[in-house]
Amino acid sequence: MNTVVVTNVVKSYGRHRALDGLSFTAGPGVTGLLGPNGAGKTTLIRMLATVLAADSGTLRLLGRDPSAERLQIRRRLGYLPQEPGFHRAFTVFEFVDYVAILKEIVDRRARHDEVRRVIAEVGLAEVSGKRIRALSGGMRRRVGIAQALLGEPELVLLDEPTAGLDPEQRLRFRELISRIGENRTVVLSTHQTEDVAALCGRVVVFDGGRCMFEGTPEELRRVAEGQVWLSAERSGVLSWRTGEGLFRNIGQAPDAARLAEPTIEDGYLLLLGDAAVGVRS
Amino acid sequence: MTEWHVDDELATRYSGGALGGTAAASVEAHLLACERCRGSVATAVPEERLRKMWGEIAEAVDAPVPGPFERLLRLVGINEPTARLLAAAYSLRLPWLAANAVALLFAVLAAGIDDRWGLLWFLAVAPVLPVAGVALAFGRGADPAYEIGLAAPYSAFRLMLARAAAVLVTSAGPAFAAGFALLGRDWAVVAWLLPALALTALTLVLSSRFEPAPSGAVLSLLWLAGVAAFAVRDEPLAMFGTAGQVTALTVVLVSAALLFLRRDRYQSEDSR
Amino acid sequence: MNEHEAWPDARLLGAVAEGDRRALEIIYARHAPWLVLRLTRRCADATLVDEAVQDTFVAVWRTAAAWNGKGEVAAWIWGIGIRRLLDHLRKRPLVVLPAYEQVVVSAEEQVLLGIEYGDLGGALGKLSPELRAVVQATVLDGLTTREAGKLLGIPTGTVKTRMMRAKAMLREGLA
Repeated sequence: MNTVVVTNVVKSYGRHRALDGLSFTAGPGVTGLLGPNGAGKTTLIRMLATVLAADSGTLRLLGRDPSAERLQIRRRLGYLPQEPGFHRAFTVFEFVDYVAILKEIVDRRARHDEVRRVIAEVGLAEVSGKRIRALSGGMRRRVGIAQALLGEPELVLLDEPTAGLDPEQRLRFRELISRIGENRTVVLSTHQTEDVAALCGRVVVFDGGRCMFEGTPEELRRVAEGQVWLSAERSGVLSWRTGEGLFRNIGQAPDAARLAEPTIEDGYLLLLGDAAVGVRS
Repeated sequence: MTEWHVDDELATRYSGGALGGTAAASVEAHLLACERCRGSVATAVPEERLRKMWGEIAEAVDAPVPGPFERLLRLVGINEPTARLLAAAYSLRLPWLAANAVALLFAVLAAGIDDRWGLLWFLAVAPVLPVAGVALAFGRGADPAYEIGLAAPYSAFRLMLARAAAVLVTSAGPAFAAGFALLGRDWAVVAWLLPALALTALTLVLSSRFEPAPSGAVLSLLWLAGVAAFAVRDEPLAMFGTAGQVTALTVVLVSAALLFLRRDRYQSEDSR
Repeated sequence: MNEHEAWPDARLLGAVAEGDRRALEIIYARHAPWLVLRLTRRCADATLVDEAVQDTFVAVWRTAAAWNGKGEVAAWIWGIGIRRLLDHLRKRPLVVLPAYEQVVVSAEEQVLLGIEYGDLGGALGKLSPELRAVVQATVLDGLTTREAGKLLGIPTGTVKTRMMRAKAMLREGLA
């Protein structure tokens, strides 16, 4: 069953079309929204978070219509905005507790137990009494994820959860997010193909507010099947020199080209290259 | 170190309370120094009991300590979650409340200097304070967790009204007290109240479309300009006369109606 | 982070002093069980014991920085624990403390004590219950004369005289 169904959604800001007839679906597990900066990822995530409404098109979240049953959806939703703000004087516990109140967990003791649970889940138990301003960027991001897990939401939306993290932190985040995605629907946005390869069961590639691909990471990789080759000269739509002195090219391969095994990134670049250069493969 | 340790049988008898005083005392003295034996008696205490106690300890250790303003809110009967939500607003924290009091004090002092212009200072400043407080109590600019809060089930409209009400009380209360205590019991010392309500309500109405801080700033400037304009024309209290009060009351009522009718617009950014 | 579990008590306590919640959890897991058992021997009311143990670890959290770093962490915790129990006992109408009420030493235990304390066990056994209670409260549980007096419901002066008499008799018994 699909928890998220987006059909022909359009959203404009003035004359700029942030989303231009976008459609995709997402179900249990981790779905990655992959696209370059400005592709409309944040607009889409905010729409899924019921913060924004579509100009036209339909959304169904957890089987409900956000324009009519917003509150019911919000009760089952966890959301990490791209730039989550924190009351900096708050401790980790105080901040998560504050969000727990906004999530209508009224009973003080039950609320505190839940706050403890999510703080432990993201591995911050030892700093729960520390002020947020004293934490590193990676830890703050984990505080953001902790609040998104309050109340065991069925749908968790994470806007660029791995942006700006160093490789080690990124690894720990993937571990955390894949754990979160075991028993619920997680939709995350990213511009990193490595994230998609490492933790997404499904990937939606979009650019310019349109969906360009929807499928598994393996299917995304196979998009570039037969369109990646190595050569001594620069020749593809996109090509770059590898460490071995050869050029790796993506695009319409010439006859008798020395084909190479494609990666997810090749598939992604090919899709985007199509959009940017207008080449139809 | 001694080679003597608490064996299973001794551990059982000790934890069962079956061991006599001096034998128990020797076990106890040993436990203080021996981690291994502490471990072997530990199993006698049920996990469930330990877990329950830990729950209480964690609660005592974690539970946020309410600040002075939050305690005051609890004292006047506001429930704990609401008090927490209110006290998180910048303009409902001690520094702001203190700044508010200082501003009032200056206004009152200015009012004492001169009979004719003096009272005007007080009447002009008193309505601006709650507007400034309300403008800094909610919205994207003032509330760092605004976006998270918007997607949460708690009504953003309700939160805005609750904070606005709290700001009004905390700034109108001192203004009342200062007016009566220092400026006498003339009706004029409360003439600022309806304008204050009108400006605050307008700020809330505007914030369905604009950020509250600039809205509040613009309204405050317009207000001060209006007061100044009448003052220049030598009718310093014109805005606080009957016509002024009726106008203010009308603005309050219209704003309240608008707020009520458009309450859903505060729950998301659809209207922006 | 699981590395905490390998840390010695002293290091954990240092971490607790810096606000490390996880370190407190490990300290609790290590020390709560024996503390429960030992306090239970002094107070049969499980509710009171639980409250005392909870208070103890909350106090450990708040005062970990005050630990001087010398001696056993367990002994420091016991010192807090027994006093918290006394605080709770004071709030209640007089309760009989089983451990202070009667000290019966069986023959078998005498043998065991012989290994550890020489004839001390025997000598202790010969003391009257009143004197034994004073010895246990002050020497074994580490209470001050004042605290022992409050606990046993006798004036501080009486604790001192009983302690002197007990010492004299023990010296005699061990001679």
